[in-house]
Amino acid sequence: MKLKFSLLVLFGALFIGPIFVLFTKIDPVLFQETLESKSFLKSLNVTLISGLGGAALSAIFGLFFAHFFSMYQWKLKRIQRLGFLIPYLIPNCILAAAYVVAWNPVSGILTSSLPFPGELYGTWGMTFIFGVVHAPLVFLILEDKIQKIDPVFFEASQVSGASSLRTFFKIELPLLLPAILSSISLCFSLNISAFAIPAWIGAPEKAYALTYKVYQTLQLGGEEGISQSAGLSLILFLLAIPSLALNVWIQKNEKKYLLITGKASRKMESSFSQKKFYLFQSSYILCMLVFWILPLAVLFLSTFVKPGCLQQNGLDCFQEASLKSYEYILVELPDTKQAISQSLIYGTLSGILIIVLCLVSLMLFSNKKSFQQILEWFFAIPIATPGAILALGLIVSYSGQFGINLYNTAWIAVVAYILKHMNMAFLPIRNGLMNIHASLVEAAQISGASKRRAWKDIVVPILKPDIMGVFFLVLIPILGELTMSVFLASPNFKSIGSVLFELQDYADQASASALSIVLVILILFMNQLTRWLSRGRLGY
Amino acid sequence: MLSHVFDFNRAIFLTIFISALSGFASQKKEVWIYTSVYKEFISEIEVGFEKRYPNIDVKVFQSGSEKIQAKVEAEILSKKIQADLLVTSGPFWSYGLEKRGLVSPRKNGPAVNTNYYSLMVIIYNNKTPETERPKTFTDLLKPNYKRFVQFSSPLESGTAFATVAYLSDRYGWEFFEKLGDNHLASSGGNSAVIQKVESGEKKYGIVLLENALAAIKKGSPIGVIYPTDGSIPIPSMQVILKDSPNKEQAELLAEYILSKEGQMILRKGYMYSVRSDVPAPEGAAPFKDVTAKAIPWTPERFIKFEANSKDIKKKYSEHVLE
Repeated sequence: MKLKFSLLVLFGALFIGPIFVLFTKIDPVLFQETLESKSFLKSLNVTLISGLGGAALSAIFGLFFAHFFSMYQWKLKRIQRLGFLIPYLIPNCILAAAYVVAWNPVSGILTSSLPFPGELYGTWGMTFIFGVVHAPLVFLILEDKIQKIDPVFFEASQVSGASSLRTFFKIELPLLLPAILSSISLCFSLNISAFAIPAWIGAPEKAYALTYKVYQTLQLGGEEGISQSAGLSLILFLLAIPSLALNVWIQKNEKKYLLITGKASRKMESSFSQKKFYLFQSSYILCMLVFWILPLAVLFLSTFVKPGCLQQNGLDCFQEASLKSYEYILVELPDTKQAISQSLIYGTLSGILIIVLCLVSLMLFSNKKSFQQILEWFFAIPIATPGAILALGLIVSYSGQFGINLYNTAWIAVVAYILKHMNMAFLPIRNGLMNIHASLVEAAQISGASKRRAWKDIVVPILKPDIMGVFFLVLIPILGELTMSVFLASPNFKSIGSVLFELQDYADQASASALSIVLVILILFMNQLTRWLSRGRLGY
Repeated sequence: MLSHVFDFNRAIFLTIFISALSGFASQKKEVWIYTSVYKEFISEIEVGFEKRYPNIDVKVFQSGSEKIQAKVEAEILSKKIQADLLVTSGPFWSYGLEKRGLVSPRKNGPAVNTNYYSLMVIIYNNKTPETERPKTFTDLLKPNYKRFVQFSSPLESGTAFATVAYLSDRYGWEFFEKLGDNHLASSGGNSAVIQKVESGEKKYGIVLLENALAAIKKGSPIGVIYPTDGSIPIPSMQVILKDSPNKEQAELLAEYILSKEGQMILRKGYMYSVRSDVPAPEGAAPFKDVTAKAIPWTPERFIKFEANSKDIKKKYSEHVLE
């Protein structure tokens, strides 16, 4: 018991210590001043609307597509599934930049021919893009759940004469409710702590999300800036609490929704009517065109021409097309090679450590639901904390002041990646665990197996697909991570994100876009490689 | 008594061994420079300096002035300072550090010294008719420029803050109030301004000359206007921190930057040299001609603006950002 308690304290120190070290720097007078300012209230409003609206949109998109992808079979399903997941696989900053090139209100390449649905800049644009980038997360969570629903439920409903719509609302939706709420809360946490989308899409129309405010105050404020931005981070942290509370509620009600009870389950097989199939396909194609195909295609084209040319001269620019941008980032710039190899090595390492930490903590605290809940809070706090604040907290905490000096090594970035992405891994693994009935482990223990043995022989094998999926789920955002990497990069460590930011900030848009395209190709290649190596069991 | 505890021969051997090891390890000394000078030019400075001082290894952290500021403030908070020499375009912060007693005095010259000058100018997209282009900063207040102008944000960019401090002092806050009414777009750093103007999203921009000239060289469809009411010179400052671990090496590096060789490298990055024997950057007008009408900076003005920085940012936010 004592050991467990000490371990819990250790987790707390590791995960929330660095943030609390910064919270101690909050000046109460300044904090009150910030809270009372009009601009803060406006930011809070923008954050809540875009965070909640984006999460709701993600849930709608995710549920709609997860339903069809789980229930029906057709040719090209795997490729189309990958297509739906692409906005999640691409770093946010790349997608946001692509939207700006494609649809900025004045000179967007597609603005006059194929206008954006609504205003791109401002709260609506942010909400929409949040919805797009996090819909795949909802999709992944729900797809798994739908596949686990016993087909008996659907069959019973159909035999009783219910339409498929009624079956969806009366059977599927109630069974999925906890997973939907849980994914909405995850999306909300991610939305309120996102930076790239508010910076690219919200800021031009003066719709500042709180993370952008944190960034602004941090940039030019010196000591006062750190104090003010720590104050704003505290607010973000408080905003994340309701979503955490929601997860606690779901945990309490978990037994009502057990989908697997140790019995064998078979897959639901339905067939598409032709009308339904075409309707589904046209909505899929339309969504994919708007979500990522058109903006990325435009970004891709812009890498071959001179800056600004595509907007002004259209396709005539291609008379002078060249591969200069690619030559610059791949041959001339030595940072790219260092960044790609280091991002892959330390990203993989972080992913493995995240999974090990998740499993160890879940096993250690499997009997202690209250400890598990505390752990979940520990893991959820960093995810709702803006990357810049987390990075500064880590610099202050791990520069030797408390006996550990990781500053200017790659390890500080590894710690940052673990902190930021732990929650993303912990929730699906814990939810996977929720679906394994306690009787399985109990049976093993009654038969004389130790707890470790029961976990090794029963829990981990059942969770294996979840574990492997989670590894990739965290590796991708780590590879494209931008905000923390910018602060934690050093001559000894460069990540793709930090080089991308430098290019965007100091070189030219074409080189930054070229690196973005290389990164997208790298991610898709890795996905394919994972599938190939695992014979189709892993990857998307 | 002590001889019971220590074996003196071994202790002496160990001391000599450790001293030899540390001597070996310290053969090449390090110096950390945190700078906002573009990577390709700071790399040239690094190579040139290491050629002159082969026993010193230069380590570079290159980023925007604002990022450097955040990183150094975090190092100051953690009391573990790694930065030796700061070369940034944040003159106010540099003087602020001096005021807080964090800057090391220098053997040659002032503790806060100028590396080079950047110049804030107006740019236009080549598609705008010549007759429509503004000639002065105050022209931008006219209704025909409404929604057409992009500027960086003083909350994010050190040079933008310097520009706001300068213009608000010169023309009063009505200037920014009117610019705000004219829907001046203000976000990001200088490269954001270039991107918005070259893509045609905005017709005009207020931006650093060095960014504009570098973009033009790469084929960007923009041109430069030197405002007739005076382009705004913004000095880049060098500072050695009081608690820096390698002050001696930092001093040598700081002097190298100010040498003719160092300044010629910076000139390639379109920065104006502080030396009279280094000409204006390629494609740039002579410094004296374009800044003749500008109000010169003095340490007193920097300190005044540093003291009012919170107020300046607050007022700018009220007039333009909100």
